[in-house]
Amino acid sequence: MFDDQVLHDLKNPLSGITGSIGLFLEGLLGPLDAEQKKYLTNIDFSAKRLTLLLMELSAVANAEKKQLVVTKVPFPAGELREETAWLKQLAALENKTIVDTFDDDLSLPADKKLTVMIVTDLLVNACKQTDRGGRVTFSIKPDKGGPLFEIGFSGEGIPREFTAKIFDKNFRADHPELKAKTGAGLGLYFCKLAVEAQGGKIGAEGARFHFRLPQDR
Amino acid sequence: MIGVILVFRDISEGRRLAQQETEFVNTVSHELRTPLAIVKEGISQVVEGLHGELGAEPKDYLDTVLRNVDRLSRITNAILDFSRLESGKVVLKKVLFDIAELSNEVVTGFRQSAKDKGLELRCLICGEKVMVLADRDKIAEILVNLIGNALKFTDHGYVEVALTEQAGAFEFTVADSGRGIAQEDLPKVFNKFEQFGRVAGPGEKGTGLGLSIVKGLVEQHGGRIRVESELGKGSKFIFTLPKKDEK
Amino acid sequence: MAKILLVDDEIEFVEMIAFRLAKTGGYDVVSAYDGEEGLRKARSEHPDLIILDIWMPKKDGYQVIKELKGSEETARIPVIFLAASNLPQTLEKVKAAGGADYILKPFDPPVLMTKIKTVLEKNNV
Repeated sequence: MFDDQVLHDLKNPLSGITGSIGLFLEGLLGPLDAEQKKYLTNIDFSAKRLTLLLMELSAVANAEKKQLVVTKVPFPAGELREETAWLKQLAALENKTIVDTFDDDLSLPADKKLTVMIVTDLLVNACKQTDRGGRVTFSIKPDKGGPLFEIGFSGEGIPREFTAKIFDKNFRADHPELKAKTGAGLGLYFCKLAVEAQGGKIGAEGARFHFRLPQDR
Repeated sequence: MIGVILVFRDISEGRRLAQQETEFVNTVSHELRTPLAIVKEGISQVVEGLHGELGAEPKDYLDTVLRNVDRLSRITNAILDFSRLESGKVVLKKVLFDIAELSNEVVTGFRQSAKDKGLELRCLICGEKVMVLADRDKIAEILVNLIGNALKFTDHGYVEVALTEQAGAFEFTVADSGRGIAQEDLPKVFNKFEQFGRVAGPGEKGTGLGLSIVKGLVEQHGGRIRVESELGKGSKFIFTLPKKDEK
Repeated sequence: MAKILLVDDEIEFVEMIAFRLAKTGGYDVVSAYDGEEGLRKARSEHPDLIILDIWMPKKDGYQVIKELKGSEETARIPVIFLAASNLPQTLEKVKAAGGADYILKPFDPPVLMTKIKTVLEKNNV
């Protein structure tokens, strides 16, 4: 249903939205006072969520048709930190903190676009799992089998009976009572497809999401 | 015997998958609506000056944003509608009603737009009384879609709405003197998301789903829809509604 | 001044709507971010109207209205549902649940303000 044509139709108006807001926030449409800036920044977060959702839809649609293009060009972990920095501000709105601990120079053998989306989604997910005032941690551990990404959160973990199922396509629809705890956008289904498309593995245990990407020769 | 069992299994499996797909679409639509609501409310407030004064140029940009938010909403709704149609979840509420009266209502709603464009909007059945058994809201949706489209793709002349009674069915026609459709595009007219060749005039951008939804609704009533058209010579959309509840 | 309780798990959205209600409508606004908090505040704050989201953590909108109607002190508070789905079955469920009205997200702000005004007037506030 969300095939390329649909996604294209959805992306156009969205570009109109994010483009205009972007111009504003860069001050290119005249001065903004503090309050307007604060409002537009909040709106910008929602526009980013929308964009992420559409990108995930596109990736899932392609992955399901076995047409997801994966381009692995090693990039430094520091870029991942930059691309997900906005989430810290978003989390702060609910008094939550995201703490990342990894070496900026660590080279990641991955598709950058997909990995940014995966990490973004897991961080948003982790923020949802933790209560107000909670803490989310993000680490990347180098390993000869490939880097291990771990995103943990404070509070009750994911119940044992769900840790495998949460990556299923229709988990959210099947468990409406878990709404708050089941992520953003397409969530974990996308993450699973995107990790596996890169030859990696993803899982969840207690209060932790983790995935490993293979080290290519 | 085995062949029959396999067929049954395929049908119910197909239905289960369609059901899952619809649930997926529902969940995603919900996800789309939530940030959309935030963007719409937030931008509206800034445009209304509730957070400080806004210059003319910034205001124009934000008005564009609002228009795009509305467009995204319309598309999301259309996707949901279409998905439900595909999975057979649309249930028709058939009532006995006067389709001439409904046509009159719909046509009246378009009078101003036709006038603004300098087009003649003719309704040949509007003064009569023709009772049909159908889902009134869905028929209204079909009429709004066809008449709206006709007006959109006609620059000079007219749009005409007519109905003839056949043996066993009513035949409804929406004809226009507009740009017409090219021969090679005719078979694709009712496909989803086909917005080929034709460039619509100013006004709301379409969702690309309208005609495919119209076809679905007509067929659910047991009717048929077809189009007769030639490039540069206008178009005629004809759909039928069976007179009795046909299975 | 009429008091309105807003119940929705989207924090930014609640803050924005609360701002509009207070600034342009002059209403007194109280907020809650899940079904349970919504019920608690309905009982402690005695709002004149509740604007209630449906799909929420801890208790969803249908459960909340059920409990509101089931308790003497909150049964008469009118409820406007915030729906994020225009499926016919959702709309039917909303009507059957006993809400005074509903509005579909995203909405035109003036429409919400009018609905609020109408419902409050109907309830003689």
